[in-house]
Amino acid sequence: MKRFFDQLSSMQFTTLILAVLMLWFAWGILLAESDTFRQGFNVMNGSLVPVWFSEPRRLPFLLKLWFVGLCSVMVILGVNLVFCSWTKIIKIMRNKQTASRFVMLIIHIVFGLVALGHFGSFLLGYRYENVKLGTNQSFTLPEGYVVTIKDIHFGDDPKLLYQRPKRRTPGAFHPEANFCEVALTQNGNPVARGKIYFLRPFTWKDIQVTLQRFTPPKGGGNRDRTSFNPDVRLIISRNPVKLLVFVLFPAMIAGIGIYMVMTWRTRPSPEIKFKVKQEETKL
Amino acid sequence: MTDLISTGYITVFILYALTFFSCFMNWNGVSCLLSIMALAVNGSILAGIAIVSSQPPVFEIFGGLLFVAFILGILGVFCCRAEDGKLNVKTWVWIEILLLFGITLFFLKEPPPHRYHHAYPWVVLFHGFRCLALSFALFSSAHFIRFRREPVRKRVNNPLFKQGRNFLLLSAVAFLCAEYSGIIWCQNGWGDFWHWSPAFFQSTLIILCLMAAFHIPGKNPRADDLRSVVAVMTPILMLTIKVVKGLP
Repeated sequence: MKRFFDQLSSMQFTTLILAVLMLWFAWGILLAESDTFRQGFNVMNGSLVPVWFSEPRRLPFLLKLWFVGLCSVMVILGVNLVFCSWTKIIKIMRNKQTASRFVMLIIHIVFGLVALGHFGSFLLGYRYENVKLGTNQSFTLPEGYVVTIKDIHFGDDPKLLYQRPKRRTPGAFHPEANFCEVALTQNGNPVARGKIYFLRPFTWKDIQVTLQRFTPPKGGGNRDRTSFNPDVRLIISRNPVKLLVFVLFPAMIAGIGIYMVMTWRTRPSPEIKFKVKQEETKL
Repeated sequence: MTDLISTGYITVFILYALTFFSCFMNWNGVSCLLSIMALAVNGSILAGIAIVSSQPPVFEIFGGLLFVAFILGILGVFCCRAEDGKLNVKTWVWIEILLLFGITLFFLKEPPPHRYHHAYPWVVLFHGFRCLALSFALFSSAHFIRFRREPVRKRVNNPLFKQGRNFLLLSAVAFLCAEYSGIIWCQNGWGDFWHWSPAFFQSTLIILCLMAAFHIPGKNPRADDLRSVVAVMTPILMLTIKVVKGLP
């Protein structure tokens, strides 16, 4: 049994799992680049895990297999991380390890929590992509919340909406001049109100309303700049573990930075020099 | 201005080639002078691109690789130890810079057009940290290549291995900073910090490669050999992904 636990906490096992994960993501790249599975990945981006598995034909079988395989390998990596960390904790308690090893242990624990946060974001909350709304139109969310578009401001040339972003003349689009105003209510009571610009979403607690794009009004509408009133396409999401990941990720980077400073050496440490000298004396 | 950038590009390419040649011939004084001249011209081109395009030169392949070469050159001049032999760490750094310039030959050599999101701080940080990570990883790989070429390799006393490991760790920190900037960009632009797309999978692949380099077990020469191979493979992977993304 001890040998089995030793195997589970070994670095050989970690390297093996990392190699498998690299192959898995390489396969993922091939799948995501293929036209056959692109739509499947769009479904994955537009909703959370429970939706992917709710209907049999929602997601191709191969993508489901790929995702389940990825989760399985990550679980095995997690088991390895727990056993490895436990072994390190015991060693630290016996005062056999240096301070840098202690920092490394913390980094590993934080990494585990960041990975858990990532996994949690696939399961918890909700996500609605491509929500197309016009002025005074609403979208109903769980727990009695409703998002209403109060006004849409598009200050640039309406022709831009009929062009692909990469085909636009550089500088033609002004992100500060184009925005929409939203209001959030819960059970009919106003909760919050704000403006959404590109890359500046509206957030209230865990709920985020993100501006995806402006779209031409139904039927083309009037292309006159003064009376032009486009629709907006939004992403409405709620991610309860967002804060956890956004706090722990920089903590992990800081930990690695501290570890790097603590172990930055171009010459062997006195401890290693002593060990080498001892070995040379033995020989 | 575009003509000036093209002329500067050819000049700096020649200067780096001459620096490599003088370093290979062990003409230390000449190589030092040439390298500083090359860095000055390289820095001027970057400043030119930044002025013309009103954005940092980190987005397109041309500007990005010039920036990587500039940082790598600074590391080569100021962070390399004096060594004997023709193929020392500095020589490998100049070879890597020439490789970067060789890649830029196949891409447009003009400032990129202005895109509104290129003024967004998290996008700038994402691309900037990625370039820094690539520079540090290439500098680290120069040490590991030199380490691999040593006839008798001992890790415990080997400053090359240690310096290679130090800069690979620094590269990992810079890459994670880029990832953090990237997840904030993604959260604000797409409402989530993760996206099921090739770009995210490629980033994860690089992180896994960096993790693998630090997790290879063993204290024997074979383990060191394997570590150095993975460490050299990491910047190759980073560079390949950057080039593939930059293809029209």
